[in-house]
Amino acid sequence: MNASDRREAEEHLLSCRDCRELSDLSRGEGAPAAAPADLLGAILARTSGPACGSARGRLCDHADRLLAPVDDDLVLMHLEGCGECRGLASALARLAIDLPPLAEIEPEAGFLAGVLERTSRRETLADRLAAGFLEACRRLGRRPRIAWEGAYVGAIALLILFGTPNAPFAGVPGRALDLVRTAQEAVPAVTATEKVPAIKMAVAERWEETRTGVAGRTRGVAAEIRRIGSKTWDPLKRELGTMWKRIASQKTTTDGTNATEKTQEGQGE
Amino acid sequence: MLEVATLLERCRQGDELAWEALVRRFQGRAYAIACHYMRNAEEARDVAQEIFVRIYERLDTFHGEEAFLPWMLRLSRNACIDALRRRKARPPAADVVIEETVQLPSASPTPEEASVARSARDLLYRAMDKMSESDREILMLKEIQGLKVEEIAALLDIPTGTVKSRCNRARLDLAARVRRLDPSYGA
Repeated sequence: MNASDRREAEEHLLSCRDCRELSDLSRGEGAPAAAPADLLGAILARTSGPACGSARGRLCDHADRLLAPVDDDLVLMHLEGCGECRGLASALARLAIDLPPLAEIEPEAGFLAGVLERTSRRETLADRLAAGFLEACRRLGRRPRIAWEGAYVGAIALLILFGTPNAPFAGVPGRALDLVRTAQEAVPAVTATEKVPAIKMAVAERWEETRTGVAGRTRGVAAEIRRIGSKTWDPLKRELGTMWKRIASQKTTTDGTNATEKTQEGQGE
Repeated sequence: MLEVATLLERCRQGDELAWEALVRRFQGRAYAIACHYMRNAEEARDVAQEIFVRIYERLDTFHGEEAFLPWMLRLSRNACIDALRRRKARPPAADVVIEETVQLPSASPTPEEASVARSARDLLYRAMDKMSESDREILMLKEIQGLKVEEIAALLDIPTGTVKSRCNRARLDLAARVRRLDPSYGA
């Protein structure tokens, strides 16, 4: 710069503060101006976009210490300046401690006994058939319209077996009735009366034998049906009980309100 | 403590004490898995029993070429899926909320620590409840049950890369949901 230009510049600097500051900065003097707080965000918004997506893509590996050192440093630098990502990183670290204990939950008492009951005993063919039958009943019982369907199927079956002229058991009920009448006529009344107690005893013994045998086999079926029924009906009964109480309490409140209103009307008169 | 391989070998030989020991060792896991899928304590108990019945029936098919836990998890998952299919035909009469009934084995010595552990668990269950089923499942398999990525990939029949990316996405999703419920979580 020649002497006259320099003199002109120095005179300008005396009167212009901005140019004086710029001159100081260019010479390395004075405090550097602090960058605005939102400068980084503004620059990123105009260039690559926010870096949070990229940081979050590496947060899990950062939490698991699987990142290369350079990537780890980059993530840490981002976390220093981003509160949201820093919160996520802390939550991930805490989840790594809180999640594994959920791997085991102690079942209630009786669970082990239930498993051993179902697995340790040797199953016979009868047990397997009973289990299969129970499972089939369970599946049937879960159908929403089982009562209707059962009645429909039963009616069709009766019609097919007994009802039509070509049915395999057509006329059987009538013939059975005729047989009974014939037996009544053929056997003298006195003989029939003498034989009745013996017949009754034989029938009772045979019935007791059959009943005991059937009861033994169907005990499990009955218990299962009771359990399924209880599971279905108990909540319904509780619900109905609650509704009834609600209705009853509303009625009581209404009656009380009506009584109070009548009293007030009476006093008003 | 006896090794699982020893217990399994004894079970295959018909040793009922070994079977009882095996059930005792894994009943917590089976029940936790059933609770995760069924989200109903009573049904979870039935399904957990069914899991052990299946293990008992298929003991001879486990040859030890993979670890026992992934094999057990595969049977457990199939049992739970079958139970869920059956339930679709008949929704349960009433849901018993898991948080109200399950007992976590807590190593906390003080009631305060046990209470803190329980509230952290409830927070996690509430957050996981809102996630998608696939995210919740993969989180359960990897972050809770501790399966490896390759084991999960084999179980779900998906590539390992998909397992990793879905798991990371699920973790971040869970972390965000937990923080929405409790902003101080992790602080």
